[in-house]
Amino acid sequence: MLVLARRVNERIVINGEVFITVLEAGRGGQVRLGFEAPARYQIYRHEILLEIQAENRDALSSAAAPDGAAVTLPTVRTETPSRPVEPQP
Amino acid sequence: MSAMAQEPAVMVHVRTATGEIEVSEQQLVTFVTPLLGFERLATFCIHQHQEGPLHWMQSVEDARVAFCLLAPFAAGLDPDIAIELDDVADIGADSVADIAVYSVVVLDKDPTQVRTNLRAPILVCRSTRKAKQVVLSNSKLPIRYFLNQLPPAGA
Repeated sequence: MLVLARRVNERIVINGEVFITVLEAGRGGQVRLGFEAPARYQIYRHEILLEIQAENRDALSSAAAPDGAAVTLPTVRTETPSRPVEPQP
Repeated sequence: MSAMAQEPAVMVHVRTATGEIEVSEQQLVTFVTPLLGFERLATFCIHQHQEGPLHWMQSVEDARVAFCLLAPFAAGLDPDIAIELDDVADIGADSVADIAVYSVVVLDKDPTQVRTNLRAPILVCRSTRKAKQVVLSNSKLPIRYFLNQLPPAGA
């Protein structure tokens, strides 16, 4: 891992197009960072992605459970969608 | 033969954990970026469960991998889903109207724990059949929306 020390208002640049600025280094260890990057970069807190990954895995095990009979599908009403959202088979 | 005549649907057989299903080629989708946590799988088939807003998404490549999906708008939800133009382009859609939205459902023996992820829906382009799970920037959308909070039928 590359380790760089930065002060407030100092920046880091990646590939000439991603700029990360240290905005605030507060008490309690919290750091506020500002990101400037082209829109194709998707910037997330890592734990959000980990949580979604874990939720996908939970969804898999629940749907593929061999004792699927023990899992009942929720009763969900159908509405005529106000927007076209259903693919037509 | 008229040029307007529809091609007969090509049927494909897909192995599942419990057997085999036959689906139309039009029900296959290809993920342009993988589902988070399932990096090796790209092709799935999506078929509707009975007539409701629930669907099954079965991996074509791995019979053991299947998900339950919800079409949230059809279920009476109206989540504030703003689709990024880059995501529209990634799945080859001409417009937002060409995109079907699904959310991944976590089933549970305890009905109060059955939930769906509205923060990271799966977008499917109806015409190209390309798909992508996106992480929406709207942090008000819950990763765990419990389906027992759904508005009651007939409300």
